[in-house]
Amino acid sequence: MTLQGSLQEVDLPHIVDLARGMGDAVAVVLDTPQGLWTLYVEDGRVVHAEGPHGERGEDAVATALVRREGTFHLEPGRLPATRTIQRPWNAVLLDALRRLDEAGAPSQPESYEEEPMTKPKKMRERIADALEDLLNESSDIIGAAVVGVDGLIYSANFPRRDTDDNLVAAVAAAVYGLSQRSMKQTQRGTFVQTLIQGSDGYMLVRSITPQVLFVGLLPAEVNLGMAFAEARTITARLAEILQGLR
Amino acid sequence: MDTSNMTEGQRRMWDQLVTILLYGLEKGLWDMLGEASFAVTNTVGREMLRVMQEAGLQLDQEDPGELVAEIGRRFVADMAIAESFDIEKENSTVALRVHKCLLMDVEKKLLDQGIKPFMCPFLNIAMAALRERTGGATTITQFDVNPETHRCLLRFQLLD
Repeated sequence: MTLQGSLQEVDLPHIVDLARGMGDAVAVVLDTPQGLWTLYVEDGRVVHAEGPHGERGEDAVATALVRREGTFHLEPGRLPATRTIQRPWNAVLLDALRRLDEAGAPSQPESYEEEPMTKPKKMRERIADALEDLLNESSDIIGAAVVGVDGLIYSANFPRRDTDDNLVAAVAAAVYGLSQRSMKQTQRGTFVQTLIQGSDGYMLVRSITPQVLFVGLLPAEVNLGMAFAEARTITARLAEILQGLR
Repeated sequence: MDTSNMTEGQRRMWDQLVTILLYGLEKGLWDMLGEASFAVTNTVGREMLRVMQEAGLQLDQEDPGELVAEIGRRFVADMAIAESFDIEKENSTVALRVHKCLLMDVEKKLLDQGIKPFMCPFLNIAMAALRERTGGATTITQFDVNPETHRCLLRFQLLD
């Protein structure tokens, strides 16, 4: 699968966030009127970047950041020929923005001028807001969480205070893993969702992206059709948030 | 298990047993759960951490790097699981390098099968401790195992 879009709609930090969640190795390619920039992401880390005028490493990141015209696409599995970036992405990004600020770069994205280091937290806040909205509007879903397949909790909102979020995340990931394996063994296609029924209600695990899951808790007297529809809607919204589109 | 009184032969057999058990467990988990095995080992790490704390491990360090270093010290100095380790902390990232770990044979077997190792006392316990400290907002961004150099690199990212 190749993801692509316009640089007018999505800026580089959001694109890199998307690439970091995609898997082992992903190349981010910016095709602009000024030339091609390529950033290489490995295991969630930006390890190399190169620009059209011989820029490499963090210099290439700094020049790529101000590109607002052209398109981007992601190439999964593309590996860098070398590695020129050792520092964490947030540190690279912050320094690049600082350099641009000092140089008086005109087209720097405003949101990153203000709070470049709060990006991950902002995404978490948007996810928390989405879950809050869901629970306020729905009577079919009474608790919800967004978790990574590695057990990382993006946000959780459960009705019982004594719910162990970390354990729910681990259980949901295990359910996903087993379900995915089951689909593969029985040739049922790719995983979409799993519903577990208990005496006091249901647990729903649904894929948002290949790396992130939605967990919903449903009451025993639930309209499953409505709950599934709401789960579809919320996972679409969460996917947009995770991809930096909202 | 106190292995200090074992003969060399007994110790070798014990190491073989640990290798077989861990390899079998990891391979089986991977076959069943795939990538979600990492999430399952988070809960394993929590229990391992609890056992170590009951055995006297104190983790009151404010700094995440020092916290991981204390875990490393316990494994290297007290349990001799590895020969040495070093820590590098930069902004929100803590990198732990482990040299000559006893479990390298297990890791190599898994790598030979195309499986990225996920059960490692350094990884699982440090992750559990960091997640406890950060309210769950820690992830592993790099876990490189190099059987040729007998070195592992674990990089933890604190998200908040």
